[in-house]
Amino acid sequence: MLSCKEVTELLSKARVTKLSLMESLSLKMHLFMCAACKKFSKQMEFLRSAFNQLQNKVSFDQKLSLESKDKMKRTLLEQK
Amino acid sequence: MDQTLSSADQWVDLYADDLFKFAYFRVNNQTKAEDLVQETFLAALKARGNYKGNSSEKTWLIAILKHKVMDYYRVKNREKPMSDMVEHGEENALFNEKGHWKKAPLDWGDPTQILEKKEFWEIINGCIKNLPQKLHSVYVMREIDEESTKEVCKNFDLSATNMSVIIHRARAKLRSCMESKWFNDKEGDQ
Repeated sequence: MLSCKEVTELLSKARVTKLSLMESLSLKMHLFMCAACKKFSKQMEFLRSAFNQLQNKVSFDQKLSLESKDKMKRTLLEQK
Repeated sequence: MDQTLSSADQWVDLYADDLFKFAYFRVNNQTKAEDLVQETFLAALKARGNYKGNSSEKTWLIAILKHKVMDYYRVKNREKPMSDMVEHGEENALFNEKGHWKKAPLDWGDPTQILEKKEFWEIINGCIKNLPQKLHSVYVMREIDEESTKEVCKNFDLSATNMSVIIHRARAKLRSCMESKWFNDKEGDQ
């Protein structure tokens, strides 16, 4: 029987490698019975999709300055 | 070649801002992000002849930049030994010695509504920025850029087992950060 701690580790492991049949079955069994881990698993999925969208959502304060752009242009022209 | 490239100095006006945004999100540092954009343009200039026109000019430049970011990650994380990462994870503090939850995860309600809120994105951005360097690099490469496990392991010279540990630690940190900075407060509001 897996502990809740092991379940959270397996959920991450599943993002990296394919779980063995045994691991995958024990994980499903545990999630079926354990409300806390099921909640954890849903939170992880939600966060993954949120982090995935993040770069299109957040407005950065940092910008390229005109000077930096000019410097880039000059460097590129020198290469020709 | 059915598609021709713009001249190199036009690239700066057309794409520098987008490339900079891409780089800044991944390296968290103004100067470094600028350097990577400059290096990308220079590499692209050298490789002009290889451009086949299969993808847009911007996609082509982003692909070059992505490789530059990966190189940067690799060099930056080279001196950080794995042992720093594998021991004493604070994610273990969530559980008692039997592996049961000390404090069960909070109820996050219907999180899809949250995605509309601007402050949510600011907080989530703060949480990812605060990840330790190696966790941040591995997490971004795997979970945001969706590179294969094989690519990530190769880039950081990691075994799949160690990569699992790093991904787990990053996810656990991000979750704790979001729970304490966002969902905790919201619970009080309801």
